[in-house]
Amino acid sequence: MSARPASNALRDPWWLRLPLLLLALAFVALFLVLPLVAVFGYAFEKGVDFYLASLADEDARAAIRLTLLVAAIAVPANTLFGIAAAWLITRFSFPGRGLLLSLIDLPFAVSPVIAGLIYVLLFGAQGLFAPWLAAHDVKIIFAVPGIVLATIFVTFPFVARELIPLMQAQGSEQEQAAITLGAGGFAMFWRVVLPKIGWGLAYGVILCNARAIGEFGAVSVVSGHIRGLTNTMPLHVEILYNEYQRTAAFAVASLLALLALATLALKQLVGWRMRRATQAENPP
Amino acid sequence: MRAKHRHALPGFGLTLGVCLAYLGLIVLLPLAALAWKSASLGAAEFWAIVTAPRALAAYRVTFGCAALAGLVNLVFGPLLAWVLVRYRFPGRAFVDALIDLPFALPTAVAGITLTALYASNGPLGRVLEAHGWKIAYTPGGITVALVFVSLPFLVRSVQPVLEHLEPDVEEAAATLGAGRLTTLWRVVLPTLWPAILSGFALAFARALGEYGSVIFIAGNMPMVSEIAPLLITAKLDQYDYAGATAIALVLLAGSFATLLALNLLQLFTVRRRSAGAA
Amino acid sequence: MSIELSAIEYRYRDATALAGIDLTIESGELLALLGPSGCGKTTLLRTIAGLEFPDRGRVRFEGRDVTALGARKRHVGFVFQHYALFNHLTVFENVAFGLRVRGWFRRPRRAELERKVGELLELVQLREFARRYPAQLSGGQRQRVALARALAVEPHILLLDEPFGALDARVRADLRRWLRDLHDRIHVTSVFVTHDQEEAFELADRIAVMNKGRIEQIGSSETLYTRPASPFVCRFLGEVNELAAAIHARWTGIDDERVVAFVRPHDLDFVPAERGEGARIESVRDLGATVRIEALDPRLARPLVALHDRARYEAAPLERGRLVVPSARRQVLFRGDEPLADTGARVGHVLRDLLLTQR
Repeated sequence: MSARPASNALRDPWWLRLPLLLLALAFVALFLVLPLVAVFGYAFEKGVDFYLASLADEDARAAIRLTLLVAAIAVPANTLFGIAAAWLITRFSFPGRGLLLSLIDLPFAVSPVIAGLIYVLLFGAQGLFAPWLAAHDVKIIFAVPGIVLATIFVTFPFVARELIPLMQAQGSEQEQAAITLGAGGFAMFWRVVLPKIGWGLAYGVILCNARAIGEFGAVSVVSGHIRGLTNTMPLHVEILYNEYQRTAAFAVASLLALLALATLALKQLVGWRMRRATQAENPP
Repeated sequence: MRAKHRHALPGFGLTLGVCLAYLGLIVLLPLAALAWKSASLGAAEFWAIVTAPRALAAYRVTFGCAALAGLVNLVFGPLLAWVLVRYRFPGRAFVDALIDLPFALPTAVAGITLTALYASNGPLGRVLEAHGWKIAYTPGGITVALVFVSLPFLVRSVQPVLEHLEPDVEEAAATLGAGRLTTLWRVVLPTLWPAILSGFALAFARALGEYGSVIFIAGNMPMVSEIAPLLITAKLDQYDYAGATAIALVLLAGSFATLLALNLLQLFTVRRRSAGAA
Repeated sequence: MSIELSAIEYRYRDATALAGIDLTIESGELLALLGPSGCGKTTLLRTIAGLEFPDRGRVRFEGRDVTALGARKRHVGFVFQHYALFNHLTVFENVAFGLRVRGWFRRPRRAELERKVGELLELVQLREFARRYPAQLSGGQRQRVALARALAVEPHILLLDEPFGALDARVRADLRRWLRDLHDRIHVTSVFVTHDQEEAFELADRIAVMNKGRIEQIGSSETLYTRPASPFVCRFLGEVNELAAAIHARWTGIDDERVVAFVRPHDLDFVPAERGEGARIESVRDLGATVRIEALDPRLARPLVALHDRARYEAAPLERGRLVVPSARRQVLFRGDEPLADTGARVGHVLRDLLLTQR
């Protein structure tokens, strides 16, 4: 961020500064800091041993494994899609480009519950494909494939959304230069495109991953809450909480909160690297 | 041969294929299922479902609490943006990073934490109930959760505008003898309105569909504190797919109308600005 | 390698960027595409490179049709206006890029690659900068890296888009001379785009002046200057006095036509008037090597501009308010867009006559 000249006209007088600052900080403390602290407070309210035991629980470990599995499928898939969509939208003009852009934004406007619902309508017991699925003994709803699909739906915009403005701003001259120098599509992508978009891509993947691991509404609709089989971490938190195992619920929740904190820290780091990279490209 | 359809850069066919296949499978096919299901409902049946008293109450709670949460953030979002951009204080970078917490924190975690804090035996709930304010398990609790969830939208849409605000306008106002409050109210705030409204619309659309952070604190009493997304899952639990689809369509219409209004607003302000410049 | 363009048409959305271009560039030639912005010159350059594909027409290299070939297969070196250097690679790696992306069997071995890149860096006088990144170089140095990178793949054709556009005036002049020397040494067929006629004149063997997607004229700088093919070329090549008039058969063999005479300021002389009529001097500005004088003839809407060189001005100074008679050493006549026949030695008389018949 650029240093602002400390012009007197831009400085609020102290009788304005102080109340505004205090009000803002009080709001942040009440709505952001307190909940964050509370997660860890409740998680450790029965001591470290209970905390570790809650995480070592068989169902908790199954939930962690399933969540990681879902993220390991959804995040790479959405990363590939995000790169392809950003390349298509920023490097070519074709009819239907605007429509494609709005489709990419769609999940932001759709309630997670509806994201789950649409897959139930397709693959559920009374769904469109129910007869076919029953005949071939394939289970999607109340099973892992449904969870993966719902997670992919909710998280697919993140990488593309991050890359499109970045690649738009960078322009395509370096890629054109690579082509005139004889590079094929693959060499151009590895040697020129990927290094150029690296930090933005990392940023998008981080956001996509955070949301994939934490997704609740969509997954809750398609999962069926079968312990040890279709419970992801957020669903496991819900079950424990509803069974009045509050401390155990917060123990699992604290892992998710740690992930959120790591995401925020990485986001700051990547934002800083990106600013530095653009400064290096346009030296004063 | 007409060579026009060639592109200088490679990958058009490949990326187009990937995008069409992916979006077709992930988005278009399921949405077609939604359309198919709603088409199987007769108009009268559809109308009966979406105007049932319980459904109407759910819309009231959903839209009302989303609007209320948006209004709270309408005040605090721009305030936080102003403080973060213009004031220097220890911990500023930390607070700035923390603004995105509601984006990053899984909604279920936010939900149980807010519930634990605002329940009658929680540290905040105890104090508030001593003053006669019951938050958890009431629409008030829903509003608190939605304030949390939608806060980043308002801060993050106003912040960049403030960062790029030319200082000379404020300086000009000061040289014309305007006091600081007058300058803020009559010079700075008007330039922020488009960003504030667009942040409000995004926050509102998100709050309409919010589920995870709300259901724990809501209490989920039909007619009182049941939100529309919960009504959808309730109907799904009873295998009432048609009913769930009907409510989903109303909710979708609400989000799309909000975002459409936002687009129109942006079009309008862009027009007005460019007409002013000409 | 020669380049032949025939009947090239290119439309972008609803605008015509190229409207039927025919152009042959000889092997080893250095050709400039000169024109105002939006005239289609960059589109034409990119069409030669295979970065744009025309709607109609053919591109041939040495007789071989390459119209359908992409940039990757055309084997041309392209220097982009803003260089398009790879910011994440060192100068060395930028230059080596084209060699490294070759197929396994055509890729040079390590020692050979280093030797070759070293030679190129020597050629562009950047050997000691090999380990730097583009962000650590000045504009002129980046320009030379871009050139070395394009030459590394031993292109048959070198294309440069506004090669000096982003540089300041002094670096520009140095680099221009250096590029001309380089071309004389390596003799690769080269085409560059510019909007600066001075640059085109100094560098190019021939210049193609473009306007609205068409080539108005191709020729050497001398041809363009002394025998411009259209009023556009005349106006584009620098300041010029325009006089609309009728002329008479006794001077030119052409009678009573509506014509326009174009006279360059340095071809115009102001001679002090002997009688009490003539053009009145409105301003005199000393530009150093020359002196710029403006004089308004009562029959003309706009003042005439003359440039007197310093020696001449010092011998016969003129001051504001003095009455003068303009006389041209050289002029070009057009009827509509058509140039009229050379008017021979009596050009000065024609101008006087033109002034007399101004309407």
